[in-house]
Amino acid sequence: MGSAPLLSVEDLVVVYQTPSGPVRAVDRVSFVLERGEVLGLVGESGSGKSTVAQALARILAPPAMITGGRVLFEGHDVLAMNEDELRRFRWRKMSFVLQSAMNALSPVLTIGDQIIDVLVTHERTSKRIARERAAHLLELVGIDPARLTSHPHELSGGMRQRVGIALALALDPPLVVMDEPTTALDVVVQHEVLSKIAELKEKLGLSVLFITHDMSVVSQFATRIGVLYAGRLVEMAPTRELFRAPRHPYTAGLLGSFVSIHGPRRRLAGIPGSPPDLRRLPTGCAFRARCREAAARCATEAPALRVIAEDHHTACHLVSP
Amino acid sequence: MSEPDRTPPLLEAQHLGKLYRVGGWLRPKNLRALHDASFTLDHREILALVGESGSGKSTIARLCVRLEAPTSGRILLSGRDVLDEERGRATLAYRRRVQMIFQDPFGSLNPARTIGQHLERPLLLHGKAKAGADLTTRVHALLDTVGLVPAPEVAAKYPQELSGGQRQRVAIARALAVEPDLILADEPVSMLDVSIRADILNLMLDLKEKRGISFLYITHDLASARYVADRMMVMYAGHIVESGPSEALLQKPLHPYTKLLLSAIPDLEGSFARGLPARSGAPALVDPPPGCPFAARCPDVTEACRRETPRPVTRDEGRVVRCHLYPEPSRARSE
Repeated sequence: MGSAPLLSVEDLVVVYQTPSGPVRAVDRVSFVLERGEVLGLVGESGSGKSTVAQALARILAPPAMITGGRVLFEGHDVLAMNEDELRRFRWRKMSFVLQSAMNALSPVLTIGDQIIDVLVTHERTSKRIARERAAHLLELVGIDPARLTSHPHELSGGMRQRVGIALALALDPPLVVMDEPTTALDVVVQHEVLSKIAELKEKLGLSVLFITHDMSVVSQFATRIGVLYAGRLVEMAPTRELFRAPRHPYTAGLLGSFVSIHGPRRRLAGIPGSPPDLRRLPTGCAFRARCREAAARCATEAPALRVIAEDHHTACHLVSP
Repeated sequence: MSEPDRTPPLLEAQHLGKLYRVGGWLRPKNLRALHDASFTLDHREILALVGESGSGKSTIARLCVRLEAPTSGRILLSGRDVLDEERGRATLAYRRRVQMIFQDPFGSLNPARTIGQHLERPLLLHGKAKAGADLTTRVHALLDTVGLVPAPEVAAKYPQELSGGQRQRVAIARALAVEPDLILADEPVSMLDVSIRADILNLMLDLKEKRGISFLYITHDLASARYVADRMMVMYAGHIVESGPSEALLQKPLHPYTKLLLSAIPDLEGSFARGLPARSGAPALVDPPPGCPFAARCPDVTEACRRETPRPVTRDEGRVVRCHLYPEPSRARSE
């Protein structure tokens, strides 16, 4: 095992070319994901969270372009890989479960054939061994292996989403990137899928980058959480610390916006205003228009992400270590 | 149902049922979207209708706003049978009292009209204002009510110039234009960012407190239902399986499905340990088998559950549950 972290994202910049000029959807985002870790990336619409996932998968297409930064997987530059290297890298080293994974399955092939296809193309195993592996993978995500002969339309949304997870695990990758893997699911099914992911993390030592708009979804198994706002990482901390002592006013506001099913019933504060238009970002801190504590400095200078406590980073002028 | 005084409830549903014919004329089948749904909604009350997709909650909304007619049952508005008086779709008079707002604040507004024009139409149609200065004043007052300020500026904008939360406010303002008694809100916050949801929920609470408007709040999210609703109903496979005051229902859920739903909700302080054993799977809505629709998944299932559909049983504190675990009073006495 090398000393390089499993995944290291350094100053990633993604720009969308629009008729009214370039828009920075992801602005100098940096984070590290260690082996065996589940890192949550949380953000609302326009925060850039899905763009980060797409950049890592290198599936961004024009008008979106990665214009800066590095993505290192075990020290190897993912952004510098050619098509050939990329083909060997995806699925095997880093795989993806995207929000629409349940609709990404081919409607004409059985789910068994689709899993076997991945195994045979990437590992050149025999069909017989691939079929056994496919059955095992379905068991892993809690689906009866008899379902190998089912077509996607015969499965429920939750089952299709779990097939998507089985596919992502097919080549035993050390890292899986999941972008809103449960958003389209009902709460009971969501709970099943999340429990399954948590179980696989324990069982396989899997590392996960879990991207979501819903803090409560990652709260139960993310080791650390990063909060994105208007394309920038504004706070990153161990999960418990983030919930107990959020330092960025946006994180605090977001946590205050959650209605809880347990505990005392309190008046929700929410956050005034709405997320900024990336085409017309204000100068300085992107959150200042909605911030109750904004000071003069916030209008002139964009705050950088800095360490304010052990393993706790915040991008806010008002926070001192 | 319970009538402590002579004033009838604002809205009362009696044994509402809705079947859809599916499967073509050769092999027609019945999809049971709603079965024997009875409930009341009072003045100045928010009643939440909670359930997962396919549970029938939107069917109730469509029946109550009279977009569709029920297959069976009655709908009473202030004690008067609205279906008896007018078959078919809702009249202007009905819509003046019962309004609806939808999940998608993007789809329900016309991109070619300004926000002001969206609000002028119902005001004129229902005779709430006369064209001219009066109309403008009323439009601005509506925008003020829903917190869209400065009103003159917002009135001149087009929907696409507003954020999702602002558009949902416009939808609420449009519903308020006719000064309704009841607003049916079908997942009004589920497409909005978390930081904005609180504002819309608080607006609903304010409208109830200050204007006495009642809401039927339809949602899949128990936590937000708890936040706004005085009472809630939990739906499963077209059945209202449990209802009661929000806090009591959540503190001590009776129906096994409510317990399952509660245990599955992720919470900021929660853990997976709370997950309950229950079989997954979707209920059969097309030509459903006899018995309780939750029987196939229920950890507490008995023989009776597969034979007979449980009837609603009234318990203490205005709670009603539909489950064989809670015997009907007459039967309990004979045992």
